[in-house]
Amino acid sequence: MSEKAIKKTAWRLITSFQACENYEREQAYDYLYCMLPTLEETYKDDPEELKKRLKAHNEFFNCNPIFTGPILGITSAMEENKVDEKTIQSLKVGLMGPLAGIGDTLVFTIYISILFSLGASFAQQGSIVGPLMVIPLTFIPLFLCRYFGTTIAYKKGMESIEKITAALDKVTTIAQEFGLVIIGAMSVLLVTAKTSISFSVGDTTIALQDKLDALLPGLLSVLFVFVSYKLLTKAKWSPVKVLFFLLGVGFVLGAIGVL
Amino acid sequence: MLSIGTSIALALWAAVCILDLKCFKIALLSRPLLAGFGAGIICGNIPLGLTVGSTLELMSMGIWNYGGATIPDYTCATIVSIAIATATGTDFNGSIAIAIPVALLFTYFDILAMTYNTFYQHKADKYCEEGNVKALERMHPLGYLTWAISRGLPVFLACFFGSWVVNAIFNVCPEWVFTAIGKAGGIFPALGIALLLKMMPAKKYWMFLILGYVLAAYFDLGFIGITLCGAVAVGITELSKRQQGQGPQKTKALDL
Repeated sequence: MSEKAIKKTAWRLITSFQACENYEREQAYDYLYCMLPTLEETYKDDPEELKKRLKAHNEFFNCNPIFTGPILGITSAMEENKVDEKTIQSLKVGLMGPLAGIGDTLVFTIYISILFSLGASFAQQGSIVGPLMVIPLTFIPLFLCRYFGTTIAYKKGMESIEKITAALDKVTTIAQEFGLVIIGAMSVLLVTAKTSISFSVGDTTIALQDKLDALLPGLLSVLFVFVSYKLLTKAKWSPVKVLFFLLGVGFVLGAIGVL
Repeated sequence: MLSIGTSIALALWAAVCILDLKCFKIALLSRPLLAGFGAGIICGNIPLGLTVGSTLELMSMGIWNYGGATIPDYTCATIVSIAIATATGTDFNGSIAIAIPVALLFTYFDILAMTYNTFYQHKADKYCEEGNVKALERMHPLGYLTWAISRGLPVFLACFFGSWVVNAIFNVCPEWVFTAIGKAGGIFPALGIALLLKMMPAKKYWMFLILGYVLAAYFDLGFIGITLCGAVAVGITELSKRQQGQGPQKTKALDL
């Protein structure tokens, strides 16, 4: 058992994961790079087996970088025990999806979005507290998750993965419920869509926006979110394509004076 | 026009930001809030860095490269628009109007970098075949260069020559064009929110979504007020779940 190799793996995850991310196999080479210390040590006397293992870890891999640690830890421990490579591969593939889902939701969708929106609201009042407060609140959890995620999973083995995912599952449900409240609020607070159309009826002018507000406040904002959501999910548009769409629609509506 | 020194400093800052997004994740410097703060310091205009950065931060909330997806490059958009606004004396609205096309244009540099890295992936295949661990170790750090150059070089060019280009455009384009771009920018946050929604079980927990909407639209509560009300709602839900003895369900995918 080597503590040194797993520490190296954790550092590589923290400093260089995704450096060689590419369209063909996403984080395959990055994963392999993290595994090199363990592989080199375990198979130094067996070059043929080493080649086989190197190739096995150079296969498609795509996971949330913050939550990849447990997978690296557990596969390192398995490699040291020279577990059959097919077993290791199927474990990697089996864990990558669920951990990516939990990690993306917890870290980026909920934590980072809320933290940075809060920071931005301070910064809009011209306060440097905004950017300064988010730095430690991002660095500490993301660092600890990656470092201890790797080393603890290595030491405790498969049982720790089950515990980690069970605990995360619970936190994720709570975070999802909470996140939806924030998302509902943000659709009205962040999307600025107000129409300046008005009608003249006799001597009085009626602003369409006032009528809309009486019906449902922020209706147009919610409508734009809904259309974007449908384009992403039903029409399977890429985010960039949706943004071009919003630019086009917003530009035309803005130019003719509807918005 | 910006000096060559400032342009280089901004290009290096853009490189640091993208490396932080991809690799280090020290503090997600790539988010407009922090990228803008840094650019503001370099340009000697911190207030501009804060206002432009925080506006673009909120405009891009929820936009994240999930699964390595290519997304509008708000990082470089923030840096370039602050730089050009400093050089040309453009106001806040002008810098947002610059940021939007830059964010869309710069997505192509991400595609270039992701494509170029495929080259290393194929070389790695060859080294695996040979069992050449040393070469695998040596080659991987070259990936840093891909990312640093993919953003550093275009940001340098945009900062150094951009004010000239932007001045020319501002002279030709009538005022209404910028107003219309600004209006379009107002609805941009819809994308980030839609991306967030896509990640969430909105159908199952629709009531939380409505609660947030009502608190913001009808009660006009601030961010902290909404957060506290949200905590209450989630707390009550979890408490009632526990009393019924049905905690959150475990995912079946993990039963290996």
